[in-house]
Amino acid sequence: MGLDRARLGLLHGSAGAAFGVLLWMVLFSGAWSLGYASLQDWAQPPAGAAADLLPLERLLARATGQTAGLDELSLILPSAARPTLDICTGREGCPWRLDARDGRPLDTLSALDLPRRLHKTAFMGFPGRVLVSLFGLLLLVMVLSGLLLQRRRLASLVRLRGAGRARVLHGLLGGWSLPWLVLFGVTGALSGLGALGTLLLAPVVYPQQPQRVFAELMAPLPPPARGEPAAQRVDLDELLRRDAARVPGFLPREVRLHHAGDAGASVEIAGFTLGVPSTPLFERHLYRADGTWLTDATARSRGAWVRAFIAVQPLHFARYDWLGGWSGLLAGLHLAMGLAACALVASGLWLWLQRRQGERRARWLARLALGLDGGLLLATAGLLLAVQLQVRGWLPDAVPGRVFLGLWGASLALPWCVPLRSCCRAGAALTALACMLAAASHLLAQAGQGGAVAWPVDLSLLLAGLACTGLAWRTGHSPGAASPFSIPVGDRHA
Amino acid sequence: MRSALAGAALALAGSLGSAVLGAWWLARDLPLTQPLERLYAAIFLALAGGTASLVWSGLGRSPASMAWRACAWLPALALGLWLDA
Repeated sequence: MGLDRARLGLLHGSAGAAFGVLLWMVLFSGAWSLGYASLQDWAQPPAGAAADLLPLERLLARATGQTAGLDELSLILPSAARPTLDICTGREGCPWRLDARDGRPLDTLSALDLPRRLHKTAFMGFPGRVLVSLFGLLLLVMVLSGLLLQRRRLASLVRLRGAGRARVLHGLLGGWSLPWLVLFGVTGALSGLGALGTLLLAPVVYPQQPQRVFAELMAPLPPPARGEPAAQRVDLDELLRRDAARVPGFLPREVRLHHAGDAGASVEIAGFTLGVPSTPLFERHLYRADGTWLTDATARSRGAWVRAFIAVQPLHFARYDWLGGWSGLLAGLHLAMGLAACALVASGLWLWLQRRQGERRARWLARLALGLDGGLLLATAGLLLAVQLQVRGWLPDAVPGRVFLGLWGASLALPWCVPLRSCCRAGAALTALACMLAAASHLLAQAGQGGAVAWPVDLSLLLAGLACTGLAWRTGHSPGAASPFSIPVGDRHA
Repeated sequence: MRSALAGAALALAGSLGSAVLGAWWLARDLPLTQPLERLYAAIFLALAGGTASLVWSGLGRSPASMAWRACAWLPALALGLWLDA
């Protein structure tokens, strides 16, 4: 059966126009989530002279004031590449962070978490998580319809003939990033819909005890508390050494303390098993508090479908540690493809707007795109600059978060009050300025230390700054007819 | 314009509804002994079916055709579930 190209084009274009603005936000905040750890390292004030990592017990002793009385703790272990110890509790996330080289407390920079929360839950908890997941489904529909639409042209992934620059970019990006787009779509859809499906289908597979589904998924669970005071806890550094000798090929990333201070207390060493696409949630070695080995949990012992479900999270969030030496390269490629997906959606929106210049619905969409997407870009650039000023003590702690929300809110309103061309030009110029100032501020702070920490973030910011400068210049100088933002109708009265 | 929007909304609702009913049916009746395996097999297969249904219904020639393509599965799946209960 032949496929109707006109119908395919209509489906691809309509779905893109209806949801592309929101899809861009999901993709951009997803790319932010991928670079989140690097951004946190980038935002920290420069460390003193480089030194070896302190033992875990010494670091934990420095945080005794904060952690005393807490019976459930999770410690995200430092590494040579990321020398910070994060101390997390079940309810509050990770409220404490220490520099693992000298034990000094570090700012947790919670404002940097805002775009990540936008990607994970859209600030709406579990319903938001499901909602964001639906964009994975939408991405799959767009990819499938785009693929069917361009299937003959995909034979040549180098040049699409007879098309404008935006169309060439759209086609090339779509062709080259196709495997990752499918990966983002499938794993993104399953991240929230999988959790929803687990909740909805639990009574079907366990009719008598639906809650058993979580116990089975997370098995084996740590032993329960006994209600009696505990004897001495094992030295965690010693336990990590013994665990490494017992299970070679295991990469520890977290230590979890359960029922601390109780006779039933236990310690979990969680991480990655080489060759097993999984996360520290499922790769665990369980010990009693005295260091006696209890059991190991690994995705390797699960069935094929459960393993596939477990693999969703590491594949979605580029946690390729289980691949050993390739992990850094693949994570970088994953992030690059995430940004390419943003460019793909932006170029698709641009094409749709360009074809419908002057139409009322195009004006609305252009305003929404500028306000939501351009605004998010400006807000994140402003956030990074504000965080750099905050860690130097020039701004109070609460300001970066307010800068992010304030800039985004203002950007949403501006396209409805100011001509779109001016709005686009001012937004691009401000974003460029914020990106370059943030990078310059970090580079200046690092210059005195003789090291180059998180330099890829500086490079990315400088490149983004240059791209936005180019956009601002082009918007100001190109002939009006070339841009979807050059709307001939008086914008304020449209 | 309005009928196109209604068609698209029906296509979306029908595809999602079919995916949920399909997942329910698969989770109950797939020939896998482990309950967790059945559950996640159902989720993966329902996602694949839901996506295919969404694309197929989106390619309908009219809003009515879009709605029909997405929602035709619903009574069939509901009947199957009811008969199998």
